[in-house]
Amino acid sequence: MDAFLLGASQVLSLTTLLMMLLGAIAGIIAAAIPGFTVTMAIVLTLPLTFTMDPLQGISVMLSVYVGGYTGGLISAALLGIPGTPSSVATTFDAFPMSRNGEPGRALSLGVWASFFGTIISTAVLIVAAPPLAIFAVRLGPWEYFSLIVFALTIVASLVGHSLQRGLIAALIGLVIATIGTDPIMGRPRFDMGLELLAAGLPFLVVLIGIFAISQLASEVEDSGAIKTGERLVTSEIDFRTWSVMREVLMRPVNLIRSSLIGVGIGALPGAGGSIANLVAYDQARRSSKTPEKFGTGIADGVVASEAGNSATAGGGLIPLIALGIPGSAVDAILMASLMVHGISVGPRLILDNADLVYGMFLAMAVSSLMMLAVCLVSMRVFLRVAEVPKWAVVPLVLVCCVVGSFALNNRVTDLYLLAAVGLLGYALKALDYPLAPLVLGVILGPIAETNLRRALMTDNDWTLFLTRPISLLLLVAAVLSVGWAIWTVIKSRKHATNLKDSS
Amino acid sequence: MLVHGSLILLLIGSIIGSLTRIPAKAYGQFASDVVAWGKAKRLVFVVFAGLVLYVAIMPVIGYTFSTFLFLVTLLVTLAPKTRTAFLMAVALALIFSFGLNWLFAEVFNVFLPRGN
Repeated sequence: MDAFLLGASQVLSLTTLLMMLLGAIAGIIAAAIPGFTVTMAIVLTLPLTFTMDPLQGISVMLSVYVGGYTGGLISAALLGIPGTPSSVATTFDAFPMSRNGEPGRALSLGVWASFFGTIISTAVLIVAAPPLAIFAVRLGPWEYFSLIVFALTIVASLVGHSLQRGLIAALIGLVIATIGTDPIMGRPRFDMGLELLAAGLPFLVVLIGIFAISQLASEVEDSGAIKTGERLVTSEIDFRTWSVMREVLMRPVNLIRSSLIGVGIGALPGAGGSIANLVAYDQARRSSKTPEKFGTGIADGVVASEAGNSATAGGGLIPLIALGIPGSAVDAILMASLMVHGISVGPRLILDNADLVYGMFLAMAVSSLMMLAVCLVSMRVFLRVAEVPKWAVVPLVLVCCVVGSFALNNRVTDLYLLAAVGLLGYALKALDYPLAPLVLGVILGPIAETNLRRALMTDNDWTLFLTRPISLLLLVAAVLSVGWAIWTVIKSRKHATNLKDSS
Repeated sequence: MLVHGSLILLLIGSIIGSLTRIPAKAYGQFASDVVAWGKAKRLVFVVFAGLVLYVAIMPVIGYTFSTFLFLVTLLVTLAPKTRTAFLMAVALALIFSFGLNWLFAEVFNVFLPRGN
């Protein structure tokens, strides 16, 4: 109890709260700009925390983290560009919703869903951290590979109306992921002798190129409208905060399931928000009574994706606090911040520094409240962005994307790759190929390959994928998921022929 | 190999499928269709041409000037031809080239390309 009060007193001091507020604002803005990511925002905050007390520093970084997972939805809803990799699935329903005239509702849904997602994940963190962590660590490369196979079946639900094009897009994504260096041995492959490709295509460059540049380019397709100063969203902007909150709470099953998916995936070291939002979206779609409405601007989609990605914040802390293993890149930086202050992070963290750990829990809860308050208050400011005419938005966001891609690795060659990938992305979009499977392939390809090879290097026994219980469970889930997708396609074809027969 | 092989198979299948489905007279109209499409989407070409030039020039003349040129050209091309729009375009170009460069260098210690 003393430890809790000690931690609480440090977190709830005025200076800390003030800096957490600034951190939340910084996180939201950083995530809202396509090209800037949560990871970059946290990396930039790290040096600023060196002069603070450890708990203060961690609290500020946690508020940037929480704000960052929410900010991505702003550009996802208003621009159709995921601001961070963890907002990809949010784009699917938030953007159509804004274009249908309800941008305020899309933003409010996302913010409330993020808030509840973070709260649920903090609750799980407090209650179930040690057993979950021990479970997460027992998973080996076999389970990771089967998880990725399961995640790849999500492609089936992202293909829209043409399975063939969706599969081609996903395979293109996997091929893009193979360019560069081999993840295990570091040998170069598929680089065509070009030094440009020697390091591979960085994931962020591909994401921005495929989604952002193609989206921006397609905004200028209607030259007549642009030259007369068309705005991004040409309708009344109105958001009803409390009714949206009730809307979110009226979907408790979706909310809780998506948050638990987010916590689970966040707890796995190496998997994070970018996967969680897609899996949560897919699961919500499968359990919904109206799966065909997903992708047209349905509230369930936004809620699922945002709750899922925000819950990875709490989930990522689980292995960090219980075992000293970071759940994602951001958690690794949090660990670095603690280590800079001389705190050894490991299984004994909660025993030796109980006040720190309780303080972190409290900081998570406070950050989510701050994020909610900041977003609700400044929603009108964000919606002003939608009133900027397209002729100004497109070039400026292009510049931001270019800056973001450069700042990632400080390489000018990344910019050449960005332009090339952007061209490819626009071409695919214009030819009606779904882009989401491509990004999924690029995200999941390296993880799948690394784990498959690691599994086979550890034990050259293919049956282990089926005899290890969790791996078997995941592979069965993958087969069921593909079966469900095929069954829906057959059902809709039968429905279509029934309609044709009866008319 | 699995990935590349299945991609090649799917692509060949899709090419054959679309070739069989194109109506015969469409081949004749192809050239004029392409020209019409190009004219309709000309701003997209402008944007991409601008982007490619921008990215190619940046290592040579540095972030600030290349961004300024890129923004001025693109903003003025896309904007309505009024005086206020033009002035705003120049102002925005200045803010986002010099301003962003300053922000990143001074506040974040991230140095954007300087050119040679």
